[in-house]
Amino acid sequence: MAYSNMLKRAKNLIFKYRIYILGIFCLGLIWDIFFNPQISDLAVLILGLLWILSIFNFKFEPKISFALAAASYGISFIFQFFNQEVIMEKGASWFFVFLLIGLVQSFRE
Amino acid sequence: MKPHERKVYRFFPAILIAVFGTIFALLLLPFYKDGKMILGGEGSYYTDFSLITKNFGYSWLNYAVGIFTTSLNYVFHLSFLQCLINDERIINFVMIYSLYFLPFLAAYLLCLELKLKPLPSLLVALFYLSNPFMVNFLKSINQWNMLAAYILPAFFLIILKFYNRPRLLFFFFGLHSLFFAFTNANPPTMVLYQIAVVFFVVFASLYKEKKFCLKTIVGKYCLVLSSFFLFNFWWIINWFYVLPDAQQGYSKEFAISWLRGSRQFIPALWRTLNLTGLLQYPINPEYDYFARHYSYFFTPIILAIPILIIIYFLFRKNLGRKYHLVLGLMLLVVGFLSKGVNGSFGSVYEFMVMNLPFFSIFKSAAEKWGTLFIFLLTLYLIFIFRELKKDRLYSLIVTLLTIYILYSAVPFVTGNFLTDYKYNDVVIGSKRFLDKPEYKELKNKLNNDLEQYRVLSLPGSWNYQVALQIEGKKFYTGNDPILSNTNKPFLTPYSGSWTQRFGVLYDKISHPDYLKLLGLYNLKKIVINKDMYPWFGFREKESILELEETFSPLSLSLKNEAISLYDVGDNFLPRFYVPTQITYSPQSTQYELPELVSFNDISQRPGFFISPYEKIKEGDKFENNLAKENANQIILAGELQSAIDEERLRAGIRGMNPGGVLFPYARWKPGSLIYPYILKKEEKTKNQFLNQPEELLRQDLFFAGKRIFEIQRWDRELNDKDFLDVLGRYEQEMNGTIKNLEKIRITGKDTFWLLAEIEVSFEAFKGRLLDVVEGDFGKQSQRLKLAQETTERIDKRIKTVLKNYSQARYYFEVPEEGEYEVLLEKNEGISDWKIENVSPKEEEKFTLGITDSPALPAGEQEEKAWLSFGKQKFNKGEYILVLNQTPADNLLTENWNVLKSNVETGEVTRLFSEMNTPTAWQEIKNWEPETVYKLSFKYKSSAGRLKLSLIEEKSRIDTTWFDKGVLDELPDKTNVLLEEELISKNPSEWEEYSIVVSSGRNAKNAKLFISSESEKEKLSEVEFKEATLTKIIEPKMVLRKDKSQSDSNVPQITFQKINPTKYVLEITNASQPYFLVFSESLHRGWQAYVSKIANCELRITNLDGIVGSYFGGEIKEARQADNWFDKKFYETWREKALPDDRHLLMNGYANSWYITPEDAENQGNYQIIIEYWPQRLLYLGIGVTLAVIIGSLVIGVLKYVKKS
Repeated sequence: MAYSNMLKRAKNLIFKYRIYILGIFCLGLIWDIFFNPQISDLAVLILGLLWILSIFNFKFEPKISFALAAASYGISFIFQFFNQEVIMEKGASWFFVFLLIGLVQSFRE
Repeated sequence: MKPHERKVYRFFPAILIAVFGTIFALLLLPFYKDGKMILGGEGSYYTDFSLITKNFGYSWLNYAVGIFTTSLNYVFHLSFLQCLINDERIINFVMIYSLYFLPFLAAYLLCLELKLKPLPSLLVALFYLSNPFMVNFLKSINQWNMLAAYILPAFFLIILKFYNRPRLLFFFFGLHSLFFAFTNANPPTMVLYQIAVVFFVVFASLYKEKKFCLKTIVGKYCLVLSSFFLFNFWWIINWFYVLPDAQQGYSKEFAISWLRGSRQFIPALWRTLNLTGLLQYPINPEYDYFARHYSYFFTPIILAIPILIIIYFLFRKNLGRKYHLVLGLMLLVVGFLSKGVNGSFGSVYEFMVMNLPFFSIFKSAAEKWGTLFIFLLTLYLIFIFRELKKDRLYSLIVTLLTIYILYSAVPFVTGNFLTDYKYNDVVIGSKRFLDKPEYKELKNKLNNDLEQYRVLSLPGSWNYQVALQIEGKKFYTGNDPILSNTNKPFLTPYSGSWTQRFGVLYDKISHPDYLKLLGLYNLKKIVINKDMYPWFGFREKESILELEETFSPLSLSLKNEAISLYDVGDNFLPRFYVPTQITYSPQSTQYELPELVSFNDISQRPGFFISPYEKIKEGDKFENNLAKENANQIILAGELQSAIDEERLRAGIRGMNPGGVLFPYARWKPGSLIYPYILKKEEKTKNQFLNQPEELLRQDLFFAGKRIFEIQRWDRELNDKDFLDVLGRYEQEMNGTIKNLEKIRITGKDTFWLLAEIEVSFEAFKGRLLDVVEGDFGKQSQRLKLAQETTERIDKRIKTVLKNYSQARYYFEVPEEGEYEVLLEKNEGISDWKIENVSPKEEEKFTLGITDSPALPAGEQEEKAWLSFGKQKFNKGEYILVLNQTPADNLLTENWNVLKSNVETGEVTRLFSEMNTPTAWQEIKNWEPETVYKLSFKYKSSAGRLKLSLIEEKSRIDTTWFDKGVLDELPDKTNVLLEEELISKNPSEWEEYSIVVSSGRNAKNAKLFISSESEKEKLSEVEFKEATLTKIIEPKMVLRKDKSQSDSNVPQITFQKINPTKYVLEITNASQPYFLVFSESLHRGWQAYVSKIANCELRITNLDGIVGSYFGGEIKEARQADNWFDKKFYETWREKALPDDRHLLMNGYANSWYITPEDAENQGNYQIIIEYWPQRLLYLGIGVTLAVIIGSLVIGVLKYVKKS
């Protein structure tokens, strides 16, 4: 009982701060792609989790995830002309992550 | 539609296939101009496919000294074709053509099966064939591996086509997989097919059933799996037997090391998406045509087309269909795997390698998973075309894909899809091989020879792929296409199983007793191929000209412009023999064989009980009482523990080489929260060994390797502080290693080997560290500078340890007590030397001098002989003998020549200047080739630094490749042996410097230069004194004990090879026990069955002719039966084999059996059958497979009859 109450409270809390979660996710994503010189699995995990929470909070359609995948690919595509290998690889990684999330979303639907 | 139009439409797909097939054939034809054909690389070097079946169609391979089979190589379609057309170029054309055409055909038919129209089907099939991944994959032209591009769509097509007809699915899937069984030769590809089949069944089920039904999926999968298993049972059954042996191939750590390699930062996922995973990175446009073709500024736009189409599809379509989603998920998973350990979540792949059983076989992630990824992507495109056919942007999508294909087709249209590549400024690798008449002559010569023997291939390339000059600077690069197409197994430095190496045959060519070695390996012919270029270097020191000089006393079986084929004559020992001179030398390896063999005559048919390298490396050795008791002599080769010659230390002794050093796996990143605890744990582990310096040394070395792995894994992610910490810790671990070595130096018997281990490991650590840091941060980076400084410091410390080993100490382990003769290799000025026993036991101490009469068995050449120091009683146990040498002459004089002014000579030589580089130099007296020298002096550098150079001049240079027009310049006549700069730590004190150098093979004379150097316009001042250069002699030392064995009667042998897994021997006049040597590598599968003549029909006497007679007819070889299927395959099934304890290792690699008269019930004449018993499994497997095929056909016919 206590556990389900706690879960409920957590859900409420997440829902209450959904805009902040989305904001942190957006800033985090930009930071990870453009400003983080290292390839960090932890960053991908945390930001991926934030995006999944946002999907639940805002009831995003899979197409939004696909749009983000396309944007990530676009970033990769553009930055290859500037030989920015790390950004290229980050973009490709996020393309995979958003595609994966989008496909799982579609599967659930 | 009119009837004739309908007819054309019906045949339209077939017409398209025919058009493509014809065009591709025309594109391929130019490669066959001027008598050439397409060969090269790791798998495509066979031209005779019937011969492959004869050599490799058994459970034991007729390769090198023999090895168990992992895959049975029957390339059915090419073997059948060869029966019809006996032209190697046509067979080759068909092979290459099918490599490209079959994937296209399978992809095209799959498109049609999935209801795509003929033209889009053509587009998709062309995409599958021509994308950058696939063209790079197929250019390896390995018929065993590259047909994966065909197998994947073909398997899926069959599953889909017969999904609702289980019997047909079972039959056709099985039959097809049986026909292409050879594509399972590569274990990771074999496993990949099985993983793909699971995907295919799940996907086909969702596609056909439109719902997920686990029961149906499991049912279908079991059907497909059982079909594969039963139709391929004939080769799968072999895997059950060889799996434990095959697992020894390489460790998980090796797989991780391979995956990471000496890496640079690679955008792995990005390359996966671009389908450029198999292209070089970073692309060097000069490398080959593909590199140039995909390096233009606009190519990224074209390469993005497939992904753009997928993105568009995801937006346009409602993804309600489950199979789309499942396919998408499969694509993502496989794409993720194909990037291996690189990029994001690379540790997931590492985790799988370390923890999933057998996953370590996927060490070439990009190639294996990449192939499946491309197929799944093509499948996705098929569905996209199906779903979007009414979309408003359909024409645009078709146009975009057409542009992509047109661009990808350029290498095909221009005839560059099997492109030459620029290996370096000299070698241009090519796949256009010219089978010259000279090569054909050699192949005919060897193939028509009826005797069984092996061939030694020279020069000995360091890499298993050789470079053969075809024309000008163009070289065929790949496995040897000449000797591989003969029925004689051949030896090279790299051939052999994991536990057998043949380095000694290449390192000791100039040894006076070298030729005697060859018989022990059943080598009868030596081939020297003058077209072979040292693109990775050659193992032996001798040039081709010198090799020809060395073997000139031998008779020539063949000589033409490219090939010299020598016969070893009386030095040959047949495949079976009974040794009359047996030597027991448990401490020795194959490396000591030249010394051991010098005590024997080949006419005595020697046999040696020695240890294989790997056993010694693991601290073990071959010891056997049966062998010891029956040996005629015990010879113990002393382990020289002076270690002053670094080069010799690194010569791969006992299998040690930097390439074989493993880097322990590190799971936690330096600087992470958990890392301090990991370090504490390591410290705790080491503390357990505080009183065991030997073990502690190994621990330090282990953790030093781990530090390097940490740098390799996280180099880019580590901040400067963490990087410095890890580097510091690495230095600390290495210093600990050296410190512990110092501790055990005096008493430890393994000191020499531990030092060798440190040396070799350090070489590997240094190479990896500098490669990684340079790759990640560039040549000018501060990190690289720090790494270089650290390695230099460690290097210096190791060299200091080396200097202490200037006394020749020999370690012996005496296996039984008795009188041993102490022998020393003959050398100049040895007469005053003494041998002293410094073993700990006081009562055993002795000093020996040379005896007057060195009446000892010598090698065939007189200059090589042994000097006796008399006989001495030894007890069983360990001994250390020290060689007390008289001081050697100083080869330097007091008279230094002066090159520039400002040099003061005398007792102390002083060099000083502000402007130039004052130099003192002198020519060294009596400089000899291949000799070890020790140089030492004292020096002071008050300002600037002392520069030291030792330069030798060669008496001859090898001009072969200059004369052939491959090299633009003649090789250098001088050789810089030593170049070093010294700076005093304390300018007012004398410092000692000492180093050991080895002169080169053709050294004529040498000059020593000592100069003073400084930065521009700064004062330099250095002084040196007491310069000495002495020759170091390290003769071999052996202990020899004669064991007077009663004169044993030697039985006569007549043997016949039935096939590579079975031999029949007829033994006559055997009255005493004896060892029977079978010169094929030792394996538990080989069994000997002795049967009495009374009960057994003699097989050999009935056959036509003896092809070889040796030792006055005591050993005869009957013409080989060459029966793939021995009619009497069952004859040993109920017989009892000789027990395993009498099956012993002989000559370091071969089988031998101890046979007593009781085994043949005291008969003098009898028959022995030597059989590799797992061949029975192959026969059993074939029986099962045949039964399945016949059973399936019978059931099919019955059903048909019933139905009609």
